[in-house]
Amino acid sequence: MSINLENVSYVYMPGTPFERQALKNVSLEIPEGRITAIAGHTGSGKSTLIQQLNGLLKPSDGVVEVDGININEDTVTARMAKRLVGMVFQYAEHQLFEETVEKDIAFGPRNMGLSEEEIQARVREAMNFVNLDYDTYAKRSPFQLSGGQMRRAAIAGIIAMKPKYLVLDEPVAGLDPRGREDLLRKIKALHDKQGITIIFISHNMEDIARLADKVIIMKQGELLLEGAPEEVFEESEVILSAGLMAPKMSLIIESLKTAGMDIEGSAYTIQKGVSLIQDALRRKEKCLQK
Amino acid sequence: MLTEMTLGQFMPGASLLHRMDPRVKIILLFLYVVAIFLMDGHGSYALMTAVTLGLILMSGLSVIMILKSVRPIMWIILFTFIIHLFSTPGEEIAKILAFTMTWEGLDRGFLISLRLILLITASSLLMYTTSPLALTDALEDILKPLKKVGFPAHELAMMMTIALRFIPTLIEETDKIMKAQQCRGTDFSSGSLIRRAKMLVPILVPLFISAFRRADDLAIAMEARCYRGGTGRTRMKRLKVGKLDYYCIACFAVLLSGLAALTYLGI
Amino acid sequence: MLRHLLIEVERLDFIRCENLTHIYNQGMENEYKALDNVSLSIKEGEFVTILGTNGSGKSTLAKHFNALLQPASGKCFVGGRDTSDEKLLWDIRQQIGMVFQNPDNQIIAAIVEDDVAFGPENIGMKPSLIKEHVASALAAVDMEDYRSFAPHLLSGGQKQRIAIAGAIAMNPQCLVLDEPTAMLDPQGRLEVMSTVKQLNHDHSITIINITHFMDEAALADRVIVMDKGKVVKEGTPREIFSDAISMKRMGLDVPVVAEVAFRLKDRGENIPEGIMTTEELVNALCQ
Repeated sequence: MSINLENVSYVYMPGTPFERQALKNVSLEIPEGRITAIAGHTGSGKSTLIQQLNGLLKPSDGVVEVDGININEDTVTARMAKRLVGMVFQYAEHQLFEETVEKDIAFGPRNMGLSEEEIQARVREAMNFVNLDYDTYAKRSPFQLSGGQMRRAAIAGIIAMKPKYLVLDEPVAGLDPRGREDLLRKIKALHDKQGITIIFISHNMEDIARLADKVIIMKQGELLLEGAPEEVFEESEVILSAGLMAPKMSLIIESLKTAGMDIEGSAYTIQKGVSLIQDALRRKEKCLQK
Repeated sequence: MLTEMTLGQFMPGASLLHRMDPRVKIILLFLYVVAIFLMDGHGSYALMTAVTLGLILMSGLSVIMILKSVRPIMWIILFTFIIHLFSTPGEEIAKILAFTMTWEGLDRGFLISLRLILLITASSLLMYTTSPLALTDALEDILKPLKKVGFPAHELAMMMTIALRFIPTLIEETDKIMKAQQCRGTDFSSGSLIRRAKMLVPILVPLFISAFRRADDLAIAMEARCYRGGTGRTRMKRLKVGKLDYYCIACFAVLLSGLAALTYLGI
Repeated sequence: MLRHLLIEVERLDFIRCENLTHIYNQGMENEYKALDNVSLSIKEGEFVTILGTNGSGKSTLAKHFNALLQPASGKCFVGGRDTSDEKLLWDIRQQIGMVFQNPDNQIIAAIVEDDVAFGPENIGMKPSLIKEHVASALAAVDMEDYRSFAPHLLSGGQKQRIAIAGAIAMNPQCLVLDEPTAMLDPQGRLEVMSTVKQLNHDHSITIINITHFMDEAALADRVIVMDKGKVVKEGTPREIFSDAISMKRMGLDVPVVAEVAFRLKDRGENIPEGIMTTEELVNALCQ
């Protein structure tokens, strides 16, 4: 099972002077059970792309399928398929509106027509998952929380709907380093422990390198690169042409190689990079000893 | 995208009407409206209709587009026409139930409707040829003398400026919040009226909160840039009444005297 | 030699805080001490970065520099002027330009050049002079071609550069930037930081940059680290980032190169202290 896009194009405000093609013939697969990262410069079409995934925008041309079902048909199955995809917008805390955190998180599940016990159970579970203690925060106004807590409460509101696929648009934007770290860990855990398929947009290649199994890079509405991180990050020149930077670690490894250091393979996470450098240093020592 | 739409009805251009000083335009429009209300007689109407048509042609905008601006008050015009048609005493054309249509009524109704149409087209001509910013500046300038009696001319203009600046931002924001709540299962298109009204809460609450937060940020930013109300403030762009404007004022004066003559002669 | 000495002497303290304390909601139930006895000074022409997690008091401190807040106790001096003296308020605000996080919430006018003119208009500058200032401010941030644009059509990085232009149009000696790049993409961040660097270098404007991005902090002459309302560390980026452990303990981070050097050292490799750039790392490893 997966989300599939076939030759999807999207034009904003067709037939007006403001007409703009935001997606051009994009075909890609988002496999179930993985973490897929989407990167691109502002205006590269990545936000338009994710809005295609649950039918918020309908393609001008092409087909979007979730688990094999075309979600833009007017059928009950199509509507059910759309519900498999949960969406967390950028600065998700701006969608909070209820009097209490509990009520806000319950909003989505309640719209799904679930029983009160089920809703209650899901709210507790979701709050627990994003590290908001139920007894402390459930009855508080969401607007009394700190920025990072508000963000997590908003994400809990989507998790409580138990989507199979969870799309997050720049989930850590505007948070401080600690907040970024905490939230990225939570997202990883959502995947590892709950088995949710994650799709996230990020500008930060370091974060992408740490989390993603698959990387998609967009440029001017077109798919520029798609593949496993180790393949994609090899193309540092192409990534640069899209207005992005390959992960700092892979650039460091490249520089060291160019300077003549005997490094085997490539690395894009700090952990692996440091090990590779150490291996190279060991070999150098051995050579010198001989 | 919603955000890329132009604000208001302004259509950029380089015609004489576009280049006129906005203050002169507003004042002339005001006089024009007064003239339309005071004038009487077919000759005056014919003259004013011709002048208005001439102005539309001069603006370089499409006549149809300008006439479309009458559409929202179509029903009011029609209603006025019918009221006059049946309620003016005179020579009978036809009788429907207890109501009598008269030739005089037809004439009256036609003139009154024409008057309304002229009013609307002339004002929309101002809106089409003047940018909202120029209008704001002009209003502040025209209302400046009223400051002496405590009228907040500067504050009013500042409010309009900020509103103009934030309308596109808030439209974008609304769009985003609607989509976010749609993803949480809000359905705006079905259900009873009460249910639909309820569905506005998840949109309006975040929108208000965001607007207040923005207002708060903006107030601090303005203070940081030394804003302290209108006193002691200068303007980079000063409106200037030029040769073109004097020319237009002269033409308008001729037109007014023409109208006065026609009205005096009863034509 | 003598001249060099003179220049050193002339670099006076432009901002000086003495035991500055700020308390929000003083006397109320939710009273909160945001700044706790902060003493620091910033020299003329210096480029200083302030680091700290959310709630560490950085933004509160920044607002004191511009007299947008008043100290609960202690003093803050800007160019020798006491920020708590109401008569000096407008002089201080004119001297310190401020740029905030959200680019949308600090642009006032619906046309770029009108917005840049807003500050000069407020201080009653002559119209002809305003035009000059607006033109040179837009040139300094490289946005002359956008002077008649509507701000909502610009990218985030461009909007922040307009905000910077609006601040420098008043001819301030110092620019305080409160997380100016937090909402921008990598491209926008580069644009804004290179503009800021240039203003510091070419126009000798004192820069105080508050940020969460460690690679931006590395551009500064000096880094001040705040935690829970106090200044906890001060030094060159090199000094600050060589101690990765304490930075992480405070919920902060270090640039990737510094982290790699730190980890190699930690695993017993022979690496010199204070490596900040890829070049330095390459030199250290491939001699």
